[in-house]
Amino acid sequence: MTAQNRHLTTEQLSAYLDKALTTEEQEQCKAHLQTCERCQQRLVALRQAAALLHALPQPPLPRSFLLSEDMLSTTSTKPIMLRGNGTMPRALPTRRAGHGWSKTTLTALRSLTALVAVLGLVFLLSSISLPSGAMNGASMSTDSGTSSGVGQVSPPGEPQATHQASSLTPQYSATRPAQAEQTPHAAATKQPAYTNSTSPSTGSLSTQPAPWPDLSNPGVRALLGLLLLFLALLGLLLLLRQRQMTRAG
Amino acid sequence: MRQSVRDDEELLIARSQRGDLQAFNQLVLRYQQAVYSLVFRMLGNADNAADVTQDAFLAAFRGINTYRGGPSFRAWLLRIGTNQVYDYLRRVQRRPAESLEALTDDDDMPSADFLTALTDPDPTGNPEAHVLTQELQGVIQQALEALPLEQRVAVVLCDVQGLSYEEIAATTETTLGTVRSRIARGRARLRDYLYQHRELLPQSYRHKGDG
Repeated sequence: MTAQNRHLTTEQLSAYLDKALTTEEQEQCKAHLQTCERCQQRLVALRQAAALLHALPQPPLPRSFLLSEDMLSTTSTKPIMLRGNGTMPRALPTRRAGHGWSKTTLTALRSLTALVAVLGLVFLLSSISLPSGAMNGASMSTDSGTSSGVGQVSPPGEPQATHQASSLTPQYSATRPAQAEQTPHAAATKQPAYTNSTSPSTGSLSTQPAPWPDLSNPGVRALLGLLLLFLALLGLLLLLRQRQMTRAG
Repeated sequence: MRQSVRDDEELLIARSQRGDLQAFNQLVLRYQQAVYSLVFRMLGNADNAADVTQDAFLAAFRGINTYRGGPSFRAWLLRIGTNQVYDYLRRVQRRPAESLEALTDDDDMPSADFLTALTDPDPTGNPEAHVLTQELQGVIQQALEALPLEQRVAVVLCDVQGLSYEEIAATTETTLGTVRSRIARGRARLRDYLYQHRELLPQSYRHKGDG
């Protein structure tokens, strides 16, 4: 009795329209509607709103949505898999026709660019902040260590290693005699064959043109740094262009 | 006849699941109007709706092995269409209009006569046979777009696509109770929107509404 006197909710009325109420609810609503003009009007209003939507014509198709092989053969990141080739709905055929680089190529280029940039910066900075003196000598001792390692593999590296060791020896002997003695000694013991045959004496080597750039010269280091930075910039530009293309595709 | 159409459809689906694109395109021809209508009513823009519809069919073909013969293939396709609409709206980061937030869902007295005038010039007339003018279609579309997205989906699936509450619940991955509530609130807001914007309606309708 009380349930029948209470006005129906919009939800009840809406579901009543769709006959989506339980049989019991449906009967209750029906009984209330027979006695309540207000709810009848509300029901009519809702029915009209639904009828307006229902009366909307189907929009004309702007084109056909048939699929072509082209649309399917694009690369994907979406997990929906079919026939083993995971493909992404959003991908368009133009991307495939474009300059699609594989992920590994891009990653390799990215790392290489970063590495070259860092190397370039190191060279450039070392040419600015380490002009000469004890600091220079300290950095050279490591340089000669590495290049003598190279010398083991390829003969052309050898004169440079010896050359560097000899060039810094005079500076060293003044400040740190112990270390200065150690450097040429290490080079000599590591490559006895080369030192004996290819480099006759430490004095004459300083005038010989080195096949490898003279890294002890700040100017050379600055040039090398700039060159490497330029290469890094090229790499960066290449990467940016690639990204733009991928986006446009 | 009806049975043979269903059998035919199941055959086409089975062939599509084995990767037969031609078979799937038969299904595209059969359902492209339904999917496009759904997407268009949700977005209100033909170009965007076309792109999203194409994406939906691509996604449907790629995911057709996930179709396990549920209630109906049509409902399954519409579900993919709905998901693509959600994806699209997320991409363009458009928020559903909140302009109707202030309206209460249950204050629905004033507009009954007005809406009656809109749809039923002849009380015995069949509303389906009633032809809506272009202007009125535009206003209804605006009203749809002003609905919160979830209500818009429910109302379009129910009143435009004619899906059952069960199918809508499956399509939108919600409960029957939620579907019922969304449809009711969507219809109520739609009705209020049309009443609020009656000045946008064609002159003839306004006169009828006032009278």
